[in-house]
Amino acid sequence: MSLFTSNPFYELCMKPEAGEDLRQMAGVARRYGYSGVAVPVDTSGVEERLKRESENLPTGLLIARSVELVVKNASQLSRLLHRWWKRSDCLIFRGGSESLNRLGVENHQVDVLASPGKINHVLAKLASENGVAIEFDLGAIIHRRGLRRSETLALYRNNLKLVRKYRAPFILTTNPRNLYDLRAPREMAALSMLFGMTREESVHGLSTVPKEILERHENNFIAEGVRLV
Amino acid sequence: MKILPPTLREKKRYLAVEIMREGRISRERLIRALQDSIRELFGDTGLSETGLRLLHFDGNHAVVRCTPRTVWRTRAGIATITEIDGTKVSLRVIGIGGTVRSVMEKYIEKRNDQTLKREES
Repeated sequence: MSLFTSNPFYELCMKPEAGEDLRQMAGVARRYGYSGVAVPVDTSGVEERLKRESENLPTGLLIARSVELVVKNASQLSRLLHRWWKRSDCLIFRGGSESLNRLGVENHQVDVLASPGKINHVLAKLASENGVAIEFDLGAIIHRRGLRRSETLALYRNNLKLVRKYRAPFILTTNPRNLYDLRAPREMAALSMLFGMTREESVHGLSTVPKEILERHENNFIAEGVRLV
Repeated sequence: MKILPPTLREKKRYLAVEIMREGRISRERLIRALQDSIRELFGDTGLSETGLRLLHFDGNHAVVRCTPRTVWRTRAGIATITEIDGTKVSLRVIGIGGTVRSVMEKYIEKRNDQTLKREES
C-alpha cells in the first residue's frame, strides 16, 4: 500500500462551467481516484443541476456542496457565513489583498482561503489557530508559462515555508473548470514537488485536510475532536 | 564491436500514459509537447537528464521512457501539458514499470481489452 492507494482524495474547488457537463467531470474525477469533489451551489444553477442529474451521477463519488464567499467587508462575510454554514459542506473565502486575507483567516467558520497571494507570518499563524486552510492553486502552474509561472512557484515556495512553520492547514486544487483541467492525485503531487512540497505533504493537502473540512460540516460535529455519538 | 554490458547501461523506467483528448493528435506532436513542457519546467539540463523517449503510441495511450531519478520530473512535465496542436488534452500516468513489456501488459493491453469488451456489450 502506498501513500496514493490508501488515502481518500478530494478536489474541493471544482467549478464546472455553465456548458460543461458536471456528470462527465465527476466521472473523470472518480476514475482518477478521487473519493469526493465539491462543487459551488450558489452560482450558475449547479444546485438545480445536481438535483436533476442526481440519478445519472457516478456512484462511489461524494459530491459535496461548496460556497464561494466573495465579500468586501466583515459584515458581508458574517451575513454569508450565517446563511451558508449549515447549508454547505465547504466554505471557500476568496482572498487577495492583505485586509481580505486577514478577514478570512480570522474567522474559524471559513474553511479555505482561496487565492491568497503572498501570505505572511501573521496570516499563517491565524490560519493555523482558526483552522483555515490555505489554498495552493496548481491550476496556475499548469496554465501559466515562463516568467509568470516562475513567479507563481516562488510565491508558493514562500507560502509553503510559512505553512510548515506554523503548521497551518492547506489544500491542493487545480480549480478545474472542465474535465481537461482535472489532475490525478499523483500528478498533483508531482506539480507540488516543483515548489518543494514533499509527497507526504501533498497527500496531507489532498486527503487529510479536505476530509477534516467535510467532516466539520456534518450535523453531529460540535468542535474539533468532539463528536456526538 | 562488443555490446555494452548491462551493468553499464542507463537504468530506465517506463511510464504508461493515458491520453484524454478532444480531437486527434499525432505521435510527433506528442513527443514535441512532452519535450517542450519538460524543457519549460526544468531547462535543457533537466530535459537531458530524463533520457526521454516515446516507445508506444496508439492515440489513447502511450509509453514514455525516462530514468528512475527523473520519474517525478517527467510526471510534472506530463501534468502541465494542456493542449497539443490546438487540441485540448490531459495526460495522466497510469502505471510505471521496468520494461516496456510489463507496462504494456499490465496497464495498456488490459485497458484496451476492457474498452473492447465495453463496446461489444
